Amino acid sequence: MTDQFDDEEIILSELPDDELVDQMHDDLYDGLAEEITEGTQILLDRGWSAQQVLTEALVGGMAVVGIDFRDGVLFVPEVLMAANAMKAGMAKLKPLLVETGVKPAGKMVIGTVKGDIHDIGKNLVGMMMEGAGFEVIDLGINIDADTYIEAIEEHQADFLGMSALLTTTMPYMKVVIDQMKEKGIRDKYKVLVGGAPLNEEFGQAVGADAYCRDAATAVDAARELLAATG
Amino acid sequence: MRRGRKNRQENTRKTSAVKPGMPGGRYRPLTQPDEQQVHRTILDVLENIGMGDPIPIVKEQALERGCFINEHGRLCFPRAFVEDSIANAPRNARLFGRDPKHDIDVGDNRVHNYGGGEAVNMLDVGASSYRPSTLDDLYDTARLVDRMDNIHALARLVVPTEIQDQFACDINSAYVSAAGTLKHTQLTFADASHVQPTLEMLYMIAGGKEKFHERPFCNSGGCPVISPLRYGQDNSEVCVESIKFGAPIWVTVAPQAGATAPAALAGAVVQSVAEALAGMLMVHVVDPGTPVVLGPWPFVSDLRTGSFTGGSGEEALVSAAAVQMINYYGLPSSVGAGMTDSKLPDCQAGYEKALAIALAAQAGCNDVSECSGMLGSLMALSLESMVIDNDLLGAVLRTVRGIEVNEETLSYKVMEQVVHGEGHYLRAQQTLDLMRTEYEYPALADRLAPGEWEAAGSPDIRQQAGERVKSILSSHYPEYIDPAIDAKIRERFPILLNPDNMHPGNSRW
Repeated sequence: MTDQFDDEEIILSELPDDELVDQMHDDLYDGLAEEITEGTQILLDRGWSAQQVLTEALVGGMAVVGIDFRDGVLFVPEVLMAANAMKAGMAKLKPLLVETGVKPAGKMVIGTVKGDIHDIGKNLVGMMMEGAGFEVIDLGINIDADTYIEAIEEHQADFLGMSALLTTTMPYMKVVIDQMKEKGIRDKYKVLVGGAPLNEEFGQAVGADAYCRDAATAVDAARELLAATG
Repeated sequence: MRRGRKNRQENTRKTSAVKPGMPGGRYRPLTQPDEQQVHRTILDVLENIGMGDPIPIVKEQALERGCFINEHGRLCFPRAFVEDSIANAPRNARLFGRDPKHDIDVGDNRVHNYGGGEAVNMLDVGASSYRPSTLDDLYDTARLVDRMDNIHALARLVVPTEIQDQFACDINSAYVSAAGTLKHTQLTFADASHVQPTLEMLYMIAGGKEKFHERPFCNSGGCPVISPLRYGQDNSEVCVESIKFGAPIWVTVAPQAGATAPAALAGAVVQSVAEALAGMLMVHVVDPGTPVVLGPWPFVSDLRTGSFTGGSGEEALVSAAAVQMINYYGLPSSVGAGMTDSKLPDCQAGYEKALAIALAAQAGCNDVSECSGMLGSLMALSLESMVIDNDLLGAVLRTVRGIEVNEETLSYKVMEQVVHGEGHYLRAQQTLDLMRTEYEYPALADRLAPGEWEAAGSPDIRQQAGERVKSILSSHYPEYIDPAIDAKIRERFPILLNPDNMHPGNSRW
């Protein structure tokens, strides 16, 4: 008996729209970037708008990934593979979305604070945000206040994300936020902070909008903050 | 003097079945062929993948000694160079206490327990939530370590989070440690420029520069590697500057399996030991004579969430394997153990700590660090947990000591006498001779009969621990810094510990 679930037998272009979308949800779940790129192209060729592909095929699929991650079914490496597949689909959609004036879910400038060169946690947040449909501008490590501020202004970001692993560098987050206040631009942006030694109280003390204990929380917090501001 | 009185006087001296520096090394999770494979892979890593971002002085000195930069711009250490460096590295070193009875000889398989952990939160006595840690808390941990027989040295257990200025944070940490304990103290610096002024304060405490360097009671070092396999500038500079202490440099690396180290446990061991060796090589290209305590601390990820889990079986296992490799090289070792993920001093904390500490100690770790009071995956410290852990450490050390087997201890003659005599051993001379030295007695662990325990109000260990903490910290205010010197130190350095909190009767305890 042949295995009816054998991947080889599925030819994406032969599937009707609804089955193709279901299949893309499965492929996102399995982190198959090439298949997502292909599926995205097929839907576009069939006359779907970029916005419709994004919402129904990609974001819809990532929602399942998010739920199963929260419930402990999926592990982090699997979620990152899914986010990577999402990103591959987004690469096809992005030029079209820009053309038609559709904005991404939100834009985030992210970086590890000055004095700190640990970037694993920050990268994880960036990947998860992208997986959720946000546009992420990653400044890298050891970022000073001027660089952060320049970047959020230039990219007209919705969010500033700051990360720190060291207890010695986390106070720098306050320096950045204070500098934003001095320039009178603090309220233009939502500030998300995270990193192992931080906590809720620290987030409040430095004047951040949200402390995110992990990458999934960062995505949730960004969504909630966007919804709150309409 | 009457014999009874003499005995009574002697009995007031606490005796113990364990002592610092007993040899471990019986637990070896890697077989001999495994050891050699791990070693060969470590040499491959250092020779071919190399280390990114060495600081200029290290790069310059390394290149002069035959190391090279590969096509990716990374500093590579030829295997012969690494093997020579290991062979020539100081294998034994003394960490001095301010009182010689607290001296620690690292090297071989000698087991010692260390404070340390750099937590940023405290779990107060009886509390069920955390609060940010302060300088007063760090002072308390130093005073408590001073009274804990099975915690042999101090490192920064909590960070004074209320001090924003990094220099003030570092020098105050050194100050409260010296004020609270005579045990050896391992210091941490955020920046190399903090080392010299802190040394000058330590000179004042020691009674002069020469006095300090005769018996340096503090050492320093850092975490100079950002995993995977990249030097971090600030901590590299601190490590090199720390040579000035004239004491062993501690080098700790903490790559996290599955995130910043391979998910395969063998790979995590390889990378952590390679990184620790890279830390040692960095110090030794600048000064080959300075002993280095190598701390390969392979951390473990919970891949469901990506977060660090310090309490897992895997953590206990890879840490012991890392110790085994450092012992294979015959170098001084340190590893983190007792890094429970539990937020409270509860059952989970107990089993996780016991497992990891026992394996690290049995592997023969010179400095079992993070083993006192840490909770919440190194995010918090509990003083109650510290005193409970002191019992735990005593029990673990007892297992390290093992069983002395000789004609006398095999006890054939005693058995014969007892069987033909009283029929029990309680009054046998051997029992009297050994009752205090063969057995380790916990201060807190409950051994009451159930009825007695109920009559005592059914206390649990956390309650008992809280009482012990209060009793020690409300009374143990040692004057380890001469008041005249203290005044001078406070004139010269930004010391923030309130002097009122350094005497009994303050509002804190």
